[in-house]
Amino acid sequence: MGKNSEMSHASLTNSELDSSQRAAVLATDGAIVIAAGPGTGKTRVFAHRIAHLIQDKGVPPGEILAVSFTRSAALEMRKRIATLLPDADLSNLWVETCHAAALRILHAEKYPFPELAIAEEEQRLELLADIVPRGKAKAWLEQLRGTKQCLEWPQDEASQCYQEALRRRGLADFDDLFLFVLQLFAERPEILARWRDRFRYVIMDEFQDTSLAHYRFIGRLAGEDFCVIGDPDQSIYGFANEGCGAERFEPFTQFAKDRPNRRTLALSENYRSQGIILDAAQQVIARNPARVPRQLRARLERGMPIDISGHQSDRQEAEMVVRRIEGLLGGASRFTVDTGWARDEADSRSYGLSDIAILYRLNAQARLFELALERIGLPYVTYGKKTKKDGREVLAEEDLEDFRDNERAAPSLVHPAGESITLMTVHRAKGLEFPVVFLTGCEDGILPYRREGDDSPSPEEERRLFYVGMTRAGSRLLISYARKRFLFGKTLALGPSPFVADIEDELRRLEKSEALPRKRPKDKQPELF
Amino acid sequence: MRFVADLHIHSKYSRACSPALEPGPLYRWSQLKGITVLATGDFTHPAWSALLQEQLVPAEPGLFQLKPELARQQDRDVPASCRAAARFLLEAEISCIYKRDGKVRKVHHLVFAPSFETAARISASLGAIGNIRSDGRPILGLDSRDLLRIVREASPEAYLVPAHAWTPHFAVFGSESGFDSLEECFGDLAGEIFAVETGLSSDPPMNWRLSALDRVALISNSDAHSPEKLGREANLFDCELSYDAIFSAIRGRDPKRFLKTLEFFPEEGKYHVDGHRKCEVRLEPEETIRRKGLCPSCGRPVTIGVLHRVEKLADRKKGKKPAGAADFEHLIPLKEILGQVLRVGAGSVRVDALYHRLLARFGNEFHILRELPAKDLEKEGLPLLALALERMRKGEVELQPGFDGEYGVISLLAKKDFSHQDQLALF
Ligand SMILES: [Zn+2]
Ligand SMILES: [Zn+2]
Repeated sequence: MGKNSEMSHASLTNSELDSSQRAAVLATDGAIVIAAGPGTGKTRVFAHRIAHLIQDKGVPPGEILAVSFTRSAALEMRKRIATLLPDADLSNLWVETCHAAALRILHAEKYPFPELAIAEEEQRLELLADIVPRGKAKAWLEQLRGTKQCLEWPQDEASQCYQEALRRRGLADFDDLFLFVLQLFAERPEILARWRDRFRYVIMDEFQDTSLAHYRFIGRLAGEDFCVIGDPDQSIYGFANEGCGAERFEPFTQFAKDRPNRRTLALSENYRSQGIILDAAQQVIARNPARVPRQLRARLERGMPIDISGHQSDRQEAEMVVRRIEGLLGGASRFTVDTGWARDEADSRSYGLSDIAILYRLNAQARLFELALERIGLPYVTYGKKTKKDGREVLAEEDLEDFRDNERAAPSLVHPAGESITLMTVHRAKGLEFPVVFLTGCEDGILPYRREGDDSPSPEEERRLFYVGMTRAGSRLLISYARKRFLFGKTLALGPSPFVADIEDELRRLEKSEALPRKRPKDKQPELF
Repeated sequence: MRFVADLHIHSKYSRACSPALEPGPLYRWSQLKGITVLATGDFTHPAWSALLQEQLVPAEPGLFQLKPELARQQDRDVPASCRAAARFLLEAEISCIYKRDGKVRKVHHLVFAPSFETAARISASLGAIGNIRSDGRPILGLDSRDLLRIVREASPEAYLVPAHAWTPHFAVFGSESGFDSLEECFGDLAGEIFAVETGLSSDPPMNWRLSALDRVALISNSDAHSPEKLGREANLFDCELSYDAIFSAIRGRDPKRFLKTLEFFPEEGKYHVDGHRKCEVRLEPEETIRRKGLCPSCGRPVTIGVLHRVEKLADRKKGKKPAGAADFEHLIPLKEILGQVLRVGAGSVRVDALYHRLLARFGNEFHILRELPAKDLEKEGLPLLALALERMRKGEVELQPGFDGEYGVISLLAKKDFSHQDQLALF
């Protein structure tokens, strides 16, 4: 880039980009990996890259494809770009989720039939009525989805009947989109060439959580100038790629294989978390084996130490969290101020409702917090499905689908009328930040989560999840665990999460006299489930 | 007619409030206190609203009264000397917690409704935004301006009045989480605000120092959390007995109809001067400024009191009364005075017995505090009480101002007043 970087660009000079951000914005040509740690200004860089391409390099907006992880992220990105380029005509710029991009291409090509529509849940069940016994339809669909996510058309008779029924009505499943679009590209190379030609610049966000199908689709579409942005340390949706082929799909590894000439740029200045939180988070993530060592620098001063508290029960944990929230709000009621116990003497800052998030591993953990908040009357919004109609926990996989593709079940992140405290899973908190984060249920068996049998999530991924939870926090991080927890009809007695013990003593403040054991002996694994 | 109105209280459904706050006892205590129109408090709370609708019936336009059969039961415990009409007016307080311009704002507002239908409309709008079931004074993440819009859209006769406007933590002008002006808080809708509740820690002369407040009426209410506290501040009207007449007197700032507010000595309020309760440090505003806002004991910022805050926003010296402003009168609750006279706690059994004896003999509390000739008390053998009342009425009191949530102490009597043994023997 050499010379170019010296140029004075309105879109760049108007904003204060640090040197690594600036380098990431200006590196527009070729295969580029931007490794962006938490809070390093990834979204900014993403938006500025596009603004730079359009404004400074004269790339027509229609030649850019920007891929976001969720619909709301896409909308937000479009807004940011429009703010940076108030005078540009952005109507031909594509800022889409993978699904939306695939659907747009299929619509444009009228493939495999004109006016393809996505089947609603009810339509799918209706179509299945004659094919699969009623009670088994949902499980059957789940299995079907697994096959399709590996980019394979199902071969059994029932599936073929189902696909035929969909086709007759001009419908498709979500997962069919990538199969169709890749089929189109294979059958009609000239069409692929046309789209490739159109999108000279492809940029993909949250690359660490890209699924096999998404990668195959976007990777096929992208030409020379293909930029992926993400953070391997925040890869928490790896499970979505499980079960396809012998080798597990890992997007960064695959990208390196496919584009050996790639250049890697790193964003390493963290603007979100005060120093202590960032240090603690790095102590935790550094213990993941096979991790490429990376260091983030905190741009904020060191603040309050991390609160770590153990509680007799999950109920007590919820009560104490809500009490702390009252304190952080500076006393929500006159009662709490006047009685003195609500004010957090050590923190002179006053926080608002929307500054505070309660994060947990499983949706089922939300209920006790909701009850405790209800009792006090503090406003909150719980994001994500709690349980299915049949009472089972919604798996992160399914929650992800909903989150990424539909975002129907959840209210939008900007509550329309009033501010509220946020309750969500750590998975769903990805990409978000809050001045105050309560990371709850930090027990060995909850976070890291372990299921009965062999299909527990990978411990490395669970550690990354914990890291993602920690790095959502700006100025206060409060970690809690319960000695007894009632979950899915059982009472569990689990020890504190081993991740908690990886945080140095100097960075934490234990509540009361409940000292944590520094390290639990390995042979004393608690009984699980 | 002349009557006293207390337009801000709470029900038993508000946090940290007495379980005795039910329509019956409120009706009885209104009479003991001498209040003709009492706010219901908490109309947004579903259970309280249901109880009100079950036990009240319409009286004059926009006002309600206890059902006759329930009233008769209560009247048995009201001495004949105190019996009078008592009405209810629908009111609720909303706690808004939200961020504006990067700062956390916590502001309480009073909302008034002329009918249960209007109240239900407001409750429905607020219920869609947040939780109004848990607390009689709901906490909503709602911007004050949006609340005002909801109230004004519910009915042209529904009004919003910022509550205890100077309280540091929860008020429109509060030092900790408020605003510097009504315009800053309510934006383009600021013109809809025609009154401000002064709260226990400020009185009209303090508010008169802000010329920006010349256009609004200053009202005073008890914010009672138990029946005994009803009317510790209140408003005196001379108008027709109806919702509309009360609010048109307030809106019109007509000193012939909205006569005066009955006030605490502001020094008695919990947030008058600055300080730290935990450190037992009380600071006058000048002292706080000299110490750069920090507590001499712990070094952390002190809680800024109302006096300091008024000083900061004031654009006028003491002593000017804006045209049209209602008069005011400083009072001390009778039980507190009796406590001083008897040299026991205001909550003691002896004070309570004498209190009820006086009410039975002379009439309601406001009458005793404001109108009863001191001579009558002397004749009754209560010369010390007569002396204390006279001093209160003349403002000859000794004040230890409240700070950081600690009530102030007002002394009417000195040691030498108790020197005559024969007087003490009377009690
Ligand atoms: Zn209040
Ligand atoms: Zn202090």
